[in-house]
Amino acid sequence: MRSLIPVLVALATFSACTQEETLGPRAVVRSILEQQVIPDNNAFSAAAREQEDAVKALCTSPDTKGLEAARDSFRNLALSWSRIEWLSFGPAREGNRRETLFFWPDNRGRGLRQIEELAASTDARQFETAAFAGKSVAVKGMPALEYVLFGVGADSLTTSGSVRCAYAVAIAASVQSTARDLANAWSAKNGYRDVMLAAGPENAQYRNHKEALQKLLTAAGEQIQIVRDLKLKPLLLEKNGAPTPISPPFSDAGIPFDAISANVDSASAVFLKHASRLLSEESAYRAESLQFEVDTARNVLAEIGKQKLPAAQVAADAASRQRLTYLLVPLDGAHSLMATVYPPALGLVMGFNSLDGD
Amino acid sequence: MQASRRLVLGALGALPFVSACGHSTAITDTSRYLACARTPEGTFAAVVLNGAGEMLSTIPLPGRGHTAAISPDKAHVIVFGRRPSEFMVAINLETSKPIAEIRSRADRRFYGHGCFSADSKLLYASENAYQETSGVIGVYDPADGYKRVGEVPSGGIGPHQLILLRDGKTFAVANGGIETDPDFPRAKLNLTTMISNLAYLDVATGKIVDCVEAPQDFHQLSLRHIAETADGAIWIGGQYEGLASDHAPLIAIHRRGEAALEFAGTQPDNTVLDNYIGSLVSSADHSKIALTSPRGGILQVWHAGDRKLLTQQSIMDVCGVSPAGSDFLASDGAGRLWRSSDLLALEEGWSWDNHIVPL
Repeated sequence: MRSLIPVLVALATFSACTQEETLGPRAVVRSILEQQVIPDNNAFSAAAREQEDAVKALCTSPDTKGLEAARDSFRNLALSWSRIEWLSFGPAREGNRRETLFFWPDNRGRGLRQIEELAASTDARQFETAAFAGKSVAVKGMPALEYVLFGVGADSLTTSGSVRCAYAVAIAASVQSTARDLANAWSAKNGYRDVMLAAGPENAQYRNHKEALQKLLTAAGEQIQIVRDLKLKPLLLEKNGAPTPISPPFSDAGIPFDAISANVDSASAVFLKHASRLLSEESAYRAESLQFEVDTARNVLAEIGKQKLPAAQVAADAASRQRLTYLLVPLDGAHSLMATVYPPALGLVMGFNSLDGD
Repeated sequence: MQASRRLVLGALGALPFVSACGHSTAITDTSRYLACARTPEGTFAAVVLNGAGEMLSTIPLPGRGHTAAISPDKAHVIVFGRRPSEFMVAINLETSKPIAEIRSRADRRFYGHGCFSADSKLLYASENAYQETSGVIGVYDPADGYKRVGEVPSGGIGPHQLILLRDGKTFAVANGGIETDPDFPRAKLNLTTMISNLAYLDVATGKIVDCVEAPQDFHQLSLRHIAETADGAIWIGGQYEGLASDHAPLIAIHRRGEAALEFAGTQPDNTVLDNYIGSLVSSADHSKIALTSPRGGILQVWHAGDRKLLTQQSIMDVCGVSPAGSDFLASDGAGRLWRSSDLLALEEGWSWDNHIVPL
């Protein structure tokens, strides 16, 4: 980051404190950051602290009740994460925080194989802080913790002296410290919130607040694409007419569709609760269109989630599969509104060539 | 086809986005060019243009295109789909019709670029062998309906652009280093460990004869687009997957036999590119390099010999760039075609894709 940023940030803060901010890109960026991004990151950090406490309590007094408490805590952690998953840039990219927290997709289960080996290990020394810090990001995030708490052999966590529990503690501590750093990176003085609010000609990342807003909207739109293309379509894969599903994240924890709902809710809130304020009267119906698509998707997800079936079973059942396939339609609609309709209505230009790497 | 709104040079002075320094350029270029595009209807096409930016013909594509390769004898034109793609389309320029659609092998995906052998008898395409997590160069025989006749390793993961060097015996391949899988389209699966490289392959044997990696300090620099200059150096346009605050250099230069990449430009020259070069070509005489950044909205022209930035122009969403006479033709996502700083044409509702190639 350029050295001018602190000065710019100070000026921006001064300006914000001395006058009412008129509704414009900067005000919307501020509301997205301060009413959604920062509270949701703080909530994730708090959930990670609770998770660490719950895992430590389980390992201190291992029993079924403690395991269930740790599992409940994990579900809360995963849902909290799902609300900030769309923030794939900035603080999430520093120090590989995103991959450290959420190594996904795990292509062909290469990460899982390492996790399985560690979960079956009898050598607790490798889970001591220094040794664990040197391990791959694939084995120290939420997918790893999910496997340890819910996967094959998780029952051993209810017996004392479990090496697997030492692994769980190591992961929970790693997730907690990374989640804390992530939340701080957004909200600290001169942190990423301030970088985005201090957009201007001297800011190396955002030359104006439209660019900062565009970054937030692009990331939110991409999350809908990720839900559709990386979480649901792989679940619908088939070979020779037989389903060959790849389950979405947090399937072992039993909340894959709740997590996807949280993805959709948080990504769409960026538009519906914040960016829509910038729509002109003539364009206001765009928000209603988006709300309709989001509500439709949410209802389908709720119906599927109500079944409480494993994701793979949902994909194998004909009626549920039909619902899943239908779910792609409102998600397509929502993404299309976010990526191609909203930006021009807000006076933003989303480049044809600049959206994705080629 | 929607009628082109011709913008004659005399009217340009009234347009605020035309550079005040833009010189008048007589439209005397009789060359033809090919660019892929999204049409106003949302479909995808390959478009043949003349040097004045007029659309001469359009050829529908089965999906979003990326670029094209023309055989040295001009007998064959192949349009490549945007990566990861399952199609290449051979077109007949005389009839403006597709003559063959070549599908990727089931366990391969086309990766955006390709080139012909010096004798025009073989087509080479960059491909992702995703099950092996490696890149390959697929080999195709135009005389046999573009039958796939073999493949060789590309020397890395995620090969993107490959070019035949002027010696006619060596390929240069930019292996972008990013792992992807069709099950998770376009998701970047190895950003924490990625290493990109520039590999040189002997055309006759397919053997890798030289290879240079992106520097460890910038291991998330994905080398993607390449061009050869008059002095035999390879210029490489990178896309940085790390943080903007890392100030990664994006314009790499390599000479065969040297152990490391060199980088061109100052930090400000690179910063404006917003971590992303979308296209990079050499001029017709190979003395200059033009590169674009759609994210930064920047077209830069460099002197290849002394590695100095000659001109820089702001064009929103600019990406395609082609040598055109003594300068360059450029295109953007808003349907505009540019010759240096002069706006040649605007096709309303059209979006030009990543590359333009001279036919």
